Amino acid sequence: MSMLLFLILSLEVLAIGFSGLIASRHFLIMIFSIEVMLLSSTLAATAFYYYGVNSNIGVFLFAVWAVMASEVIAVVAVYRYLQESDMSMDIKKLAEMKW
Amino acid sequence: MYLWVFVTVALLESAAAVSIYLLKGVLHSTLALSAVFVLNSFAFLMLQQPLLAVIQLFIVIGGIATYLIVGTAAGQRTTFRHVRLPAFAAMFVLLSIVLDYSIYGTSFSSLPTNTFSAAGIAAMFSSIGLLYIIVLMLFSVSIGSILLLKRFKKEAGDTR
Repeated sequence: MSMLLFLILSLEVLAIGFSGLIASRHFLIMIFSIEVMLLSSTLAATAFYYYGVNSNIGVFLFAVWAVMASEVIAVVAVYRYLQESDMSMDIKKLAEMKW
Repeated sequence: MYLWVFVTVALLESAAAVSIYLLKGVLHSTLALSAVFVLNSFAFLMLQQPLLAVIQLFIVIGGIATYLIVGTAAGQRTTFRHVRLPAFAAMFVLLSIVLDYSIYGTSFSSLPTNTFSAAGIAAMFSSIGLLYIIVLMLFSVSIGSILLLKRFKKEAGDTR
């Protein structure tokens, strides 16, 4: 089976994630969109690796997974703030956050 | 490897990814996201990378558990319509055309050779500085989040 199929799949997933990021107003859904986009990047990298690109993708994959884990930390922190401030998860309301 | 298995996994993964935006509850969206993760690990398995598939599942399972908790708790705060579906559909079609056109006509080598193994992880430690940067990034995000939110909270407390 061709590498092209895996690349098309990863590009479709990337397109879905990016479209969701643009079209969503919900804070958590936007974070999910970024997760989906990062996931598509790992799939594309692995496809390139499997089909003969001679390199070590371990560091790249672990970096992407670290970004995904960082997002979880940020989500918990921001959600805690939103809850204490009794604010909505609508990103249009995030302008109300006091600096 | 059979083509129909790949097509099934690809269709299911795309459907699960779209379901994140079609489902109304955040909890359901989280479940759809976890389905995307699982199906992506199946795609890794089809690329003969069982180690990467397992590592990815182990890593994301913690994130999914946290998202489930936050998604459940955030249910009462999501009374608004959170995805503009026409904008989503238009952007998806446009991006699909642009991205797929970029690889249209390109001939890729089809000689599968590499499988990421324990030796690959051992080789990764030759660039240990990058791993330290990753760990530093994780700690920076957590400490930065705490500092930022403390400041937000302090300012909000002052204005009340």
